[in-house]
Amino acid sequence: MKTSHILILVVIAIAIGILISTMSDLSTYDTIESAKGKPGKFLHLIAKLDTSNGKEIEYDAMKNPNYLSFHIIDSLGGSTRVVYMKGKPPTDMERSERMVLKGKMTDSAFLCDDILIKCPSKYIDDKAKISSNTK
Amino acid sequence: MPFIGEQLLPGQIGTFLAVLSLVSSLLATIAYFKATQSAIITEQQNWKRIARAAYLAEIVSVIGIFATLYIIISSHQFEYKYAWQHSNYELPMQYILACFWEGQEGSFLLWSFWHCILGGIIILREKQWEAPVMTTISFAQFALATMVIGIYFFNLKVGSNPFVLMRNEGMLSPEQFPIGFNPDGSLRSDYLSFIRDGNGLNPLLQNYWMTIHPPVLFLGFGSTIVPFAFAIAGLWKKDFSGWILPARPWALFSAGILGLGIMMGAAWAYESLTFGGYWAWDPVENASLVPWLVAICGIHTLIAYKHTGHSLRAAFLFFILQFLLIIYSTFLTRSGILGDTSVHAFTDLGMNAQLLLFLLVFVVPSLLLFGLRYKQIPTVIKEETISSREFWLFVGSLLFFISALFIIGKTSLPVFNKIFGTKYAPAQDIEYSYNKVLILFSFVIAILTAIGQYLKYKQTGRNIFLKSIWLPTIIALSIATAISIFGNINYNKYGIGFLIAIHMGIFAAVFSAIANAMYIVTGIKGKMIKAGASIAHFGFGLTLLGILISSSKKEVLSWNTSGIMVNFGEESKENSAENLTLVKGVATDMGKYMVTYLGDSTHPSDPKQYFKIHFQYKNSTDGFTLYPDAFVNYKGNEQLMANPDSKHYIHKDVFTYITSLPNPAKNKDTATFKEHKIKPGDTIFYSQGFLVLEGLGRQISRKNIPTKATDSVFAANITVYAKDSSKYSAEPLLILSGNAVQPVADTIISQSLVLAFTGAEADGIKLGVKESNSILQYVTLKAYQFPAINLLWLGILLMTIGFLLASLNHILKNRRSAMKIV
Repeated sequence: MKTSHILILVVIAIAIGILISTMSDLSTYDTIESAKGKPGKFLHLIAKLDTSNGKEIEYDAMKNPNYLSFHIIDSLGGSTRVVYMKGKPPTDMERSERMVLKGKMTDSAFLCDDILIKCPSKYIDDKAKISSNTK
Repeated sequence: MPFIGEQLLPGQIGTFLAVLSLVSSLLATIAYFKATQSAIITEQQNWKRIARAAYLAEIVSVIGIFATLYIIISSHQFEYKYAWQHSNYELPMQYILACFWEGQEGSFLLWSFWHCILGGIIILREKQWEAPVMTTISFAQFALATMVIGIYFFNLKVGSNPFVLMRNEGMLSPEQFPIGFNPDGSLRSDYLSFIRDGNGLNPLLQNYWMTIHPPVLFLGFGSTIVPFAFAIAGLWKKDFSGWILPARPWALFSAGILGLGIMMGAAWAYESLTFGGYWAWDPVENASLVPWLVAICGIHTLIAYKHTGHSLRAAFLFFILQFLLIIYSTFLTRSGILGDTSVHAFTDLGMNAQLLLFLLVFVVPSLLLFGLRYKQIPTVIKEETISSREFWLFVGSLLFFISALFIIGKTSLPVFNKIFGTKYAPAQDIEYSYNKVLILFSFVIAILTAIGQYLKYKQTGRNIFLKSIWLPTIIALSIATAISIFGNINYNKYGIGFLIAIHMGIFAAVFSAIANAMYIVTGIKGKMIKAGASIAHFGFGLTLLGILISSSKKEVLSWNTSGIMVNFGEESKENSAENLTLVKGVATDMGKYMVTYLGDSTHPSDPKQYFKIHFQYKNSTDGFTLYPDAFVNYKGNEQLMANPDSKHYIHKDVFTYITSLPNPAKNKDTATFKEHKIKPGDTIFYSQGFLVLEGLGRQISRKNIPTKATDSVFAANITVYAKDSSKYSAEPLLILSGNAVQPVADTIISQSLVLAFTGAEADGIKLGVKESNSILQYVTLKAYQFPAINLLWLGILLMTIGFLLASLNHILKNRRSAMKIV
């Protein structure tokens, strides 16, 4: 056997190893309803902030600077409370049109590891807010 | 209808130049193509003359567009959308350029600008390869010119013109901007006088890195086309080896600058963004790293070919791919397809079809050409021997290439989802999912960089090799062992396997650094002009060591031990309580330090608010003060946008940033005074402790109390004993001014306590006690410690120097051999 053949085999072996390990790492995007069906599994939710019926963003840095709680609703109408234990609400959370949340569903709330906020971009905004105040 | 105050001339000039650039780059492409294809010398010369003139026109028009847009932005001509979107009056001058490339159009122009410069140098210097190489570059310029042309072609928007006007883009509407409209709904002729300021630059980008990082990165991006164009030219002209020597300095230069540009981005992220690190395996970072990795593969296989005739096909493939990956990353990062996986705010300009076309128009012909010529590319029948340098150069390149494929494959997950309709999401622990694979690759690659220099081409004698490698090995082993034992590296978050990999990685990194440093002395006898490769590898070793140590020993200082903890589950090692709240003036325990929030300050010329945070070593009198800053309520954004501040030591950085501030709107003072009737010596309890009325008097010790000589003042002397055994004194006052009774309350901020002396009776006084959170001034912050981070920066710097030195060395070599031929 030539060295090049051995090399090719080694490369294929490495590639398969990586592929398997990567595939097993992957998680999924779920709806809130389907997430409730698999509690404890790490997954991604795409939803938006729910502030209807007096639901509020709960954060008080004096009580606990690492505790944030709010409600979300997704496009299929599923809703849940979210608990985030890494700090303050992300910038512009109130203005966001969409959020990607990573974490696990539990009985009481969605325990969230990471929040990604998608804001209406100023580029997509076709009607600008013009500053007409005198400086 | 004319509008008062609008200056339309710059926009017309700009648009004209954009069209000129499109036409001249197309003309240059055709003329260079003809010059390459023609067999008759005089015809070649004629086509070349036309092509050069066209490319000169291209250079002039791109620089002209650049200058025009710069003038529009810097003179705040808000009738132009680009100026309005990206700048405002508040912006300091040094950020005007940053505004320029904040937008997609500006960054395409920047890219195009570097192609102009590089193309100009090629025309001047690379006589023999000018025509075929410049065909590719002119074509790329044409493709880039379509990105800023902004015309509609069969209802399809082609490019986005940076010279469009606000009023033509539907940016002005009677709902949002009523003052600028007539009652009949038409725009007022003096509408411009009501647009008093622009939208401004995203505050996160208001940073000096934003001024210097994009030009360097885009020079790196832009320069990858040169070795690509040489490789294509080699295939095209069937001169499979002639392109190697002239392309080599370009490839080295490109890799050096691209690497520097990427790591400048990392330094920016580390220094002024609040990721809490310099690298997060974000798709944007990956997209620029991968072409660099492949370019490195190209360089190493090219060297192997130059010395032995092996690996030529691989070199072609790598140089083609590194540029295609640049275009692919452009597609990934600008099309908005990464939207759900990246923290970077990508925006879809509605040019996805065009971006895809941009990708295909390079991918298809270049891979097709490679496929067609593949069989004709000369190879050596004889296999490399295992003891030869070229064999290991090839193995190393292959490993680098696989790791590049791994990274780009993971990054492309949203693309796969799009194509196959799947719903896969990135792994739970993104960083670890990359690190666990790449640490093994980097181990092998670092070892290879260490021994590679000591191997000879064709075949290495066992004794010669062992004789030269034993000393570096022993030195590296002892240093690495010392780091492992005394460095206290016990990163156990991912178990013992990963920890072992870290220690192995540390050895490999040290080995790479030591072996290459020693090779400068022993191998090339200190001839620095030839030391480029060794210096770059030495830098690579240091970089790797810096990465390993700083990541595995990164320490959270602001560990929160108070507050409610939520259990993330048994197996979760998530300990997320990294935010700590500091009350103004109260020293708080933070590991080795006592940390105090002393106050904050602002300056009229700077929209940021600076927070003064003092770190005091517990075991000595030394300390330092950090000033992390933040945009607070910037443009009505409720949240704050924070920038960190670091204390730099040689061996470590202490790094802190503000994560939250009190929100005055939400912390309305709803608490009320509770009245107690007490006598001196009496005690009142409150939630955090108790207080004692020590006595009453007419003497006041508080300063700045406005009293008149005719007033009678009574003071209650109170001592507050808090649960945490701290003690405070308070002195609420009662001022009798004529018939009016005026209490002056006293506040103990750290106890959220307000005391008011509200009245006096024969048998005692009335004391109001209020506990309220709203009086508290506090900040919430995170603090980290990064050891050995400077090793990383030093390594990057050396790597860049090594690349540039090697590039220079080969330029000089080529020049010498050219003179010999003449």
